Amino acid sequence: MILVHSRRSRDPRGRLRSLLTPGDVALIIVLLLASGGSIVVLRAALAAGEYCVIFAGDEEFGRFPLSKDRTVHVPGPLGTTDVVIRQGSVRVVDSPCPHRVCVSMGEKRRSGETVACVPNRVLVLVCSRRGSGVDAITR
Amino acid sequence: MRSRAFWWGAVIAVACIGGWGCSSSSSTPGVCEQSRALIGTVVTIKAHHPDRRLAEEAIDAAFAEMARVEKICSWRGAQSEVAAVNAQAGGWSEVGPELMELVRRSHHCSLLSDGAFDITVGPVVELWGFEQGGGWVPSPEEIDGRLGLVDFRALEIDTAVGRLRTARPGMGLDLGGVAKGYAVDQAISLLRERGVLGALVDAGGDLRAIGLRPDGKPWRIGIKHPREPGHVLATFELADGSVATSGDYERYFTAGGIRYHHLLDPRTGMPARKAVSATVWASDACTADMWATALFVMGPAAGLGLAEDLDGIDALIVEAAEGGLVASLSSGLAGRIDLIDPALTVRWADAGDLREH
Repeated sequence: MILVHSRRSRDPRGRLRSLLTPGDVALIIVLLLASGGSIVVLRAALAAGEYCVIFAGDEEFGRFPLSKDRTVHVPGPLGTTDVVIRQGSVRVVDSPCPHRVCVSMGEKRRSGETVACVPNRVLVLVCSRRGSGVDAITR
Repeated sequence: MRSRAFWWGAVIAVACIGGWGCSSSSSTPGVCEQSRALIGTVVTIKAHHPDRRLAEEAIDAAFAEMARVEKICSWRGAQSEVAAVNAQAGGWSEVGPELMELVRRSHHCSLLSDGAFDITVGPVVELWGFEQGGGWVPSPEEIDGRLGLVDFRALEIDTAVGRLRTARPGMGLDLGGVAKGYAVDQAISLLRERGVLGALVDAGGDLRAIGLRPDGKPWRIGIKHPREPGHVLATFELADGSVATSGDYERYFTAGGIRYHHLLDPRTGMPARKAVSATVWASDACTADMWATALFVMGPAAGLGLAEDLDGIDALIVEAAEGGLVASLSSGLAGRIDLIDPALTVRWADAGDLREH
């Protein structure tokens, strides 16, 4: 309910007091904190990956949630690439490629990040159902 | 006197802008999306058409076209045209019109950038071992020995006959700074021919878009933060155009506490140190790709001035300073980019000079 005050104060502080009650001030602070908090929470939530899609050659090999620890053995032309999902992240731990660049790429946990073993034609994409806020990232 | 309704309205507006305003979603229903490992990276193509089957067929054809480009440009594949030129170093090699055009465009970029971009840099890159997936620091003598083989001016181009010659034995072409972009352009041409309404091709961060998303909005793009993995530095909209980024964080190794990355200054044979990332906007991905490399090597002071002089080019060059990252932007980006990192120092090019904000 909106109250209209009949008296005007010449003191600016008094005018502010007449506009806002302590309850109003408390509510404004709560809303501002909630707004700021939502920025932090949304940014963190949007960036986190929820599952990964693994491709073997041109075909999708499978989709795996990052919330469940497991090892996935992905077949390729050179042999088997071992992909480990652990504690919300995914990484290639072993692959029969000559230079093992994919193994050195480390763990990925953010939506949009990738690990690729080009020689063995294995590709791991980290995804999120909520999306990362953008359609693509230039890097 | 303003009523309490006014103040409540202001508070709600702040809440809307602060909280709900940043929750823009990238979900693009109706878009067909496929990813494949091609041209030494991960390629993702998104496209839409009222007939979903046609969009999928167009994407398949675009991937096939990129694989064809890879066969021309790969310096690893023994069957490629580039490999044939390198095998004939010191003598003339007849090449097809596509490779000839790519070399001609690269040569032009080399001239304008005073050698900051050079497709003959291969012998020095090989010395650092980045292609072997690791890396080691070569001795100054080793680098000096190879620098004699790096010189775009020693590359002879006979466009009338369609042939190339690398003047010295041991020289070679390395199209790593231009091939991805060209492949993206070819994919986009094919998607356009097939009648897709909108598409976004992403080859390891080299991007080109045509049309709009199915929701009628431009494609929303992020620029990878050069020092905070998993975060973006800035976002912007892309409808018809290209963008590419070169950064010191993609391939590097650390030795003695120093980061050695794969983007070498062809004139010194050492990793370029004037920038940590360079993002370039252009009408086509081939142009964006090579200028991202050139401006990264040149750094913000020289690079941004050149970008201002070039038609159709815009650039964001990030350098690491004592107080943190400094982003220098060309004037054409004003109002087109949303810089997210609050710690970033921002400088705008203004009539050739950099102006700090």
